[in-house]
Amino acid sequence: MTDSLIIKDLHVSVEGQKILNGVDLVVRKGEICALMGPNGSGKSTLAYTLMGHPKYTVDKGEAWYKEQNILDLKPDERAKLGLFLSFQYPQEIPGVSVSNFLRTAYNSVKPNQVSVPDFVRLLKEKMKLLKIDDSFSRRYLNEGFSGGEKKRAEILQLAVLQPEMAILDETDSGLDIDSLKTVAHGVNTLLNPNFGALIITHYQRILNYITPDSVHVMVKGRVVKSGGKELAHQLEAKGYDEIIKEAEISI
Amino acid sequence: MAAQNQKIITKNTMQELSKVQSSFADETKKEALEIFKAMPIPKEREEDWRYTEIEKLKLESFEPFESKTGIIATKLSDDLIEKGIILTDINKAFEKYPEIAQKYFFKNVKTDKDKFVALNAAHFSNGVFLYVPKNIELDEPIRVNFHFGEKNSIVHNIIIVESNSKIDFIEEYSNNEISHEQLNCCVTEVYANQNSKLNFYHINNWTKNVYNFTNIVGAIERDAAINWVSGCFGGKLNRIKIDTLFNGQGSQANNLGIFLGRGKEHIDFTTNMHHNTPNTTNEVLVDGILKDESSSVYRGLIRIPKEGQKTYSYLENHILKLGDKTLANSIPSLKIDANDVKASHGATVGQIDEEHLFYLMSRGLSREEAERLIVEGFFEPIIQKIPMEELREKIREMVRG
Repeated sequence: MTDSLIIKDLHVSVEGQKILNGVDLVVRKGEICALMGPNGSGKSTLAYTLMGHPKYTVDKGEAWYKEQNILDLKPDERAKLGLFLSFQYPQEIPGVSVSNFLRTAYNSVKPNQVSVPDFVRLLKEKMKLLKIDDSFSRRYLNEGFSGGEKKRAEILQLAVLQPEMAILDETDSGLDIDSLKTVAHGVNTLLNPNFGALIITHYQRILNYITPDSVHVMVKGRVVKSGGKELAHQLEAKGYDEIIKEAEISI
Repeated sequence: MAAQNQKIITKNTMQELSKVQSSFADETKKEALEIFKAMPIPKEREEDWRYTEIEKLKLESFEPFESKTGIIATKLSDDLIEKGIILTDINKAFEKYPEIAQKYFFKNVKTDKDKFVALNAAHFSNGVFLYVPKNIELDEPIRVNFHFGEKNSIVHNIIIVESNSKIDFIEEYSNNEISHEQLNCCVTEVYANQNSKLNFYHINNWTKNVYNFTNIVGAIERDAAINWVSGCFGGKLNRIKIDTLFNGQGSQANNLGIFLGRGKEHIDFTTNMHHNTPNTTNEVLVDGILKDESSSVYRGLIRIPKEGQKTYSYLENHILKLGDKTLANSIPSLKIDANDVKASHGATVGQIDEEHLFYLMSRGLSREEAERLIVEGFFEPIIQKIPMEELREKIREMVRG
């Protein structure tokens, strides 16, 4: 269990407003875990909190990964532990090239420094996998990227840095079907017994291409229902309202 | 710093410019000394000195203004000397080339407008004289390294590029690490004659006890162009003022300025553009970063008198402040009396974006590494505009510290 991400009774507020009201969730090593829920249910708040965004205040609860309560760690320390967050809205960083940034990041999270030629080779290989043009690596990080390019850039970072526990926040939003397939293919190539992922999504669309081991539904800052991959299909068929009603009855 | 200088001069063979006494400038010096003595120290309320406080600076404590400037310059090949290019100590130029020197010496620079120009005129001990005759295009840049050891330095330079010639000029200033305060005062007169093109690179890198006052005045004649690139680093007070005189139709200038404040440094950067004739174009971009407890003031003037019709002039200034203890001032201004011109200015002063930091840190970069990338990235767009790769890399190195 030590390589699982274990979230216990997590309460989080933003600027005094409570968003998460006791989240319990486990993402096991080697498993894909989907977190679904209506807008405003707190999915992104959970993602940011797990990565350590300073705006989110943890009022109560714990999040354990590799025998550490990661909530005590700085964002870079969490990354070095193996965590990764694919952002729903990645930041544009002027003047910093994709390649320069990624090499700096790679050298930060990996125990051994990579030489420039070796890194260029790795980057090219991953760009090819994600059908990204070579010129991409010289562009400034996310600056002037289309929505789809930004999402590909996030998955490119995931593929290059190869973390052990990834949180993908709405990676499917804003992607056309071809881009979605490419991105999903990129994620699928990373799947191995040592890799775990929490895929946050509003729609089950991306789950047609990346098969989850478990599906959880978040409503009003709590996980109200958990199940296998069939739960995603039920959600698609019935809509959130129905599931929420059922969940409320069961509570 | 010494090592960096070494690196840059290996391309050319260099010569040490000898110091010669000259009587030519004695008259000017005598007059200027009277003006210097009579002028009070500038006050912060004066337009040219807003946000720079030097009233407490005891100029007399730096006396005597003896100079120990080491000047190392490109050694011209016999071929270039034969073509008539002159690169020598300014005093020597007064002796050997009096007609040229007299024609340009203090042609556009006024001693009675600025106490430090008066100081320079009264006390300069040496400097560089560069003369490039007509129709010459140099492949290699002319380099001059000024190394101000431990004493005060007052240098006066004259750069003349005659018609249809095209050169790159790189000047670098540095000094020793010293425990006492040092005063440096430089005036450089630049003349770009008809249809000539000059890329002028100025880089200074002072240690922390230096008061530096640099005045550069460039006159651009018909269809000629000057590209100014300046990088300012270090010093207790690092002041640079560049005046560009558009004296001929079709004259052009670009002015790129980069500065980085650290510790308690104060950087004082001025670009004044004087569009004295019609059909001239200008773009100014000055970007600065302030760290620790450093402060800065940027003054950028675009002046278009009635004669300056059809001027295109644009000025932009961006400052990135790291930390709450830094202080940035930006004073762009337009003085326009012509009615058919395009002129505008813009200035931004911003803090580092916490969302940017979080994004980079989430990928494993420490806060320091993330800041370093953002700082380097902030300068990258302006660095990309520098026309010479060697200088682009040089400035990147200086920014990395």
